[in-house]
Amino acid sequence: MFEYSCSGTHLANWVLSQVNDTAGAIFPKRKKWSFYIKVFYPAGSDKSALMILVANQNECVVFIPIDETIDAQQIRSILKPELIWSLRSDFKWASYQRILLTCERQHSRVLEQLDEKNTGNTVLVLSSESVYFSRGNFENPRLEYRLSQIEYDPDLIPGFFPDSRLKVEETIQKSLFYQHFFHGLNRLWLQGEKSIPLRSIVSRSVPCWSHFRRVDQKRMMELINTELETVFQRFFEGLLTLDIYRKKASSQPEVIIVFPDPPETKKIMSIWRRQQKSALEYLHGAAKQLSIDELQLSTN
Amino acid sequence: MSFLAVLKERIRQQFGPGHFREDDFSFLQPGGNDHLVQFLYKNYSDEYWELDDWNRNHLLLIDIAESLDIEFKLDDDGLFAVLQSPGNGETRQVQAIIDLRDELLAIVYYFGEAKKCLRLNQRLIQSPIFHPCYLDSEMLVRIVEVFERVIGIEYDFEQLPALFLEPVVMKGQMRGDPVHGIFVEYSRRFSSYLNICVISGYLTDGAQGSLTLNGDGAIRTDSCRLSSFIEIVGYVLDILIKKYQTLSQNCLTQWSPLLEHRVLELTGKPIEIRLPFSVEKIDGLIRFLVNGTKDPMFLGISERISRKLWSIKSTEIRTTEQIEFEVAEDLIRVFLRERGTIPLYDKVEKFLRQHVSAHLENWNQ
Repeated sequence: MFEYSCSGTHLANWVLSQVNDTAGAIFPKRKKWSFYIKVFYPAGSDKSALMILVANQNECVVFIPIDETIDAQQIRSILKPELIWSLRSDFKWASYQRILLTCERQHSRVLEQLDEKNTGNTVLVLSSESVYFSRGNFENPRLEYRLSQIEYDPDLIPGFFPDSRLKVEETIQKSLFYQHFFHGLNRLWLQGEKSIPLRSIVSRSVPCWSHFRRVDQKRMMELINTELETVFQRFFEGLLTLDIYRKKASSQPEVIIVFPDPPETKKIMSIWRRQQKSALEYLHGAAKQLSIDELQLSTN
Repeated sequence: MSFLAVLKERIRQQFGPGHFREDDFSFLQPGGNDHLVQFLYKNYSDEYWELDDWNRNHLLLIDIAESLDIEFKLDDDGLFAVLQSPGNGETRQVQAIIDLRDELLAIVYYFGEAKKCLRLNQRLIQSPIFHPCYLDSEMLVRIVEVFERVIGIEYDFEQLPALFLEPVVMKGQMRGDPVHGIFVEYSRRFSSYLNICVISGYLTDGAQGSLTLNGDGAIRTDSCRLSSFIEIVGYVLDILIKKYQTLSQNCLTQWSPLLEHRVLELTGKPIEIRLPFSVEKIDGLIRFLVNGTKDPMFLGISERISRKLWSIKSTEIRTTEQIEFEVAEDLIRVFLRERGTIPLYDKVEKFLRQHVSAHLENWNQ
């Protein structure tokens, strides 16, 4: 039996898939549920985390996805009451429920950290078979009932929120991010653009870009820049190049992606398409060595 | 006054009162016996949505004039536009009236000789500004309810060898009296393979003329009563308005920032299409979605995201509209992120109905 493991984005996407008008969704749209996503920095941490707010007119359910990138200190600060207080000051809902959302693999680690005495903690777990509460439950009994009725397949969760695991360098399955990134480049190339600042295309490819702290943005930019240097050199020789632009000799350098002429033949397009495919395979493979259970359950 | 009564009034103004003495039989025939109506999706660029109706419609007509060299004249109230044949004074004839009242759809009524009407329509639907509304096979079958008898169908279904091990082909056309019975039998027994693209029949009013509905959003008729004509246009219009409203209101997956709270709000959901049977060669389907055929032609990339699911992001080469898919053997999700992608979705749906399964369980059910 393998423990199911997945990223925080995947967990977030599961929640987002539950706002729907199809039969069986936990938060039906016709009952005025709506979805918000927020990037936040747990107190005392410089690493970002995601928060999904699901709310109707009165109540707000706050899901916080915990994957391997969220460390013990962050969990501690997520559990503090201050988190809800700050939401209360920002929003006007009458009641808030905080739910830690995690996958089977991270589950025991999360449980260890929970204070036994504090019964208010609620943990929802995604496994390869089902979604269940290992601690607590929905305060709203109707949600509880709908949860017991849902159809669930971890392999078919829709990608509402594109993968943004670039926020942490060590554990990246980069190919999804770069798929999104290339998607952006494709349009610009077909539209006949000559060049685009890297910053501008990255900010369009990373959801919530402007909500990340400066340092995080800088770190992501550097990471992408380095990676693209290798990737462009290896796969897009003569097609795409990175250029440095300075307004004045003393100004900050700005990295620019330079496009080739817009495609005129199908052949160039198919070369372009093939190179993107190989680049993604390379990024996928270079990202990390996969463990057996991930091959079995999440990645393959 | 009903939606179409306003139009009738407008046509009366254009042609003068004399023409409508025999109201019920001479509605759209100042110059010939054939009538043609085309439903079009107005493919505005996003900036246009910031304008008021009059300006938006006005700019649309300017775009048409520029790209097609066809000059429609907008009425003072900005609701209808009229195209007159070139010429002077008495000889000038009204060739077409566009009804621009719906915010998403335009309805073009053609007058005069059939050939000219068809030619003009051909030019309009090929322009990037208009997209001919797609009436899928299941909609056409629903519309059949207003017919007394079906007297002709064309059906076109051909699974691709690139997608299926033993592709099914069901193509053909039938005309004549027995069609009605056969049609009923076929749609009961072969719903997954019967992809109807043209259907014609008699209306219930006992008139001589027949009426033909085309999957590309056109209705043609010869000598049909005004009341029946209005009934069928209204019926099709309701179905189409509902379709395109659903697509643009519920099926555009968009993130909108709420600045004061630093959160992103999610609106819309992807279109989920369930296939009644599995695609046997999933690679073939993925290849189509990153590559396309002639129309649409895509530049896209695919990536496997789970044991069952592939993520595909494609850009149409001609329009540079972007569309995203998630594909499993019996499930296709389509993410539309912008309004301009709706015509592209129609093309993809048309491909699926023609080459994968004629019956699709989707948002429309």
